Amino acid sequence: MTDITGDDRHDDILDVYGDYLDRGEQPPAELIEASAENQLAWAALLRVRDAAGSLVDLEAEAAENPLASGWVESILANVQREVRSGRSIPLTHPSPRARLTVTEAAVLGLVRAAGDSVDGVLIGRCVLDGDVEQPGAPVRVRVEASVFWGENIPDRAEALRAAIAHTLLEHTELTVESIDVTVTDVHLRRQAPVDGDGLAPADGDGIAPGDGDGIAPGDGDGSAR
Amino acid sequence: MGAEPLPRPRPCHDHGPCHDHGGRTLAEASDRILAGRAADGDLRAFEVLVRRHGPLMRAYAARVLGSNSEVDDVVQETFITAWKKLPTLDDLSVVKSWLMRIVNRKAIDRIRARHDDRPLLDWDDETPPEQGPEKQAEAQSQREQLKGALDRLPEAQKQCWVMKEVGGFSYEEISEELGVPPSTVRGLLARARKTLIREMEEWR
Amino acid sequence: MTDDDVTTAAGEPVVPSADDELARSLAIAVLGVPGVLQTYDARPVVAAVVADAASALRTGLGAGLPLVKPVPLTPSSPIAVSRGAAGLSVTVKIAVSEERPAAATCRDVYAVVADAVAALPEGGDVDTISVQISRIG
Repeated sequence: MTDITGDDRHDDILDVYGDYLDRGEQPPAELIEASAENQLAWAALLRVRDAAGSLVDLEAEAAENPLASGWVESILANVQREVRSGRSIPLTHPSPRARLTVTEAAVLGLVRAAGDSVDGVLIGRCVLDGDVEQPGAPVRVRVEASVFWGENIPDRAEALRAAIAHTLLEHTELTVESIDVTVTDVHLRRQAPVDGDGLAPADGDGIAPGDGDGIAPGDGDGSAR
Repeated sequence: MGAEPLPRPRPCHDHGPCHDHGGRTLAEASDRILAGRAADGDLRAFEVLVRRHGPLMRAYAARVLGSNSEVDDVVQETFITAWKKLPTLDDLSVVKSWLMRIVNRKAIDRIRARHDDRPLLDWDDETPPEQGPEKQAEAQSQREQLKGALDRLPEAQKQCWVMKEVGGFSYEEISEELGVPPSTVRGLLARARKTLIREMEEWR
Repeated sequence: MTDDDVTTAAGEPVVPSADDELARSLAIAVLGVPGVLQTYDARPVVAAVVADAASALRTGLGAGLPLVKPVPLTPSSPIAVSRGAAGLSVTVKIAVSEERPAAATCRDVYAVVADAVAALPEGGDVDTISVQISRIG
């Protein structure tokens, strides 16, 4: 057994190699082949990297060890205790003694349910932009959504906007100035809830939307009231 | 009653996809969509994120902590923190690396506690007890050999190596997370690599 | 928790305070309003913990001392009733159905609570009646 790392020169070349690798570059061949020490050091470095491969590949290990169901549930149970009601949105009443409100979280849940009732879209983040705690203050509703592959994006965005406008009008007294839908991605839908590739495109006769990144159909023009 | 108002608790079971009342599934949704819903209080979306990224968090925490006894606690704490802080996450599409950062910090906190909260560089002097040669000979593969070598590294070197090679953190991020200058990170990393190489060579 | 909550030496049943009684009857009335799915704990956190501990203590006493007539477990109402200088305050937190407009359900809940409070024999001033919708659907 030869201690090839015993001398400073060897350590130096490992530092040099390390700098290249950290920049995501390969050391130049001339450097590696410049001396026997350099070649040995390079070979040693490669062996460590090979061995490290499986240690570093967390994805593979993770795929083999899905979370136990009870474990996930205990996280969810803990998380449920963390209440995030958000702001208090007033409902009007003639009596001065009445304090009627709906929580922001309840309204966001309502918007989400409305979004989920629209075929072909999945709603993401929803923001109520405006001073919702002041009765009558104008509010802009901004939502992100994903549209299933094969659906007509402007058409789906419009259906989503209509559904949100309808539910907010029915259940709240918010003065909705606009509903802005931003389609942040397009995603594939499984044909059936079966494990497997499941990546067949939607039964879509619609237009393939291609890359939907950052498309905001009708952004800002969707007056709901 | 008794419980505070909650997002609709409608947890999915097993590993099947989560269906909403429209029969569609959240399981294929992007991280950005799921993180947005979870930020707004959708527990089902959060559950999909937990199932999607939890195994990776756990594998990473196991690398950092080097033991399994604290791994589950650290990952659970990570997700509880994530639920609380999700509404403040500006770029929802980076939720995975954001989770990695939280789990990393929680794991390092555990290690700090093991060392009575002394500064990181103090640990660098402490090499864990050498394992006997018989133990080393038992290592059946290069992987196990390297794993053993990693476990024997001084803790500060090991942290840097794991964050860099396993977590994919940059020098700057490691420096920020560990609270030491980038030059120190570079030095620790270089020593970790040399030690690992030496151990691998001895084993050959 | 008041002295009223403690079981008497003679083993008489616990006599809840008038406000506890009111809170419980309000909870029943609120749940009867069309569209109300559920009530949530509206008591301040500390009050809720103390009340639940008192309730558990009563049950424990009942189990441990056979001579004392076991008190049925009467969990405190989630509805918060308090009295201040300006009078009585009631806070209700509810989940409502999306089958009917949430604002209408909210107003009906207010009306039911206001009527019940007005019908109290001792009368008295009402400060505020707060109804919060914490979930819809």
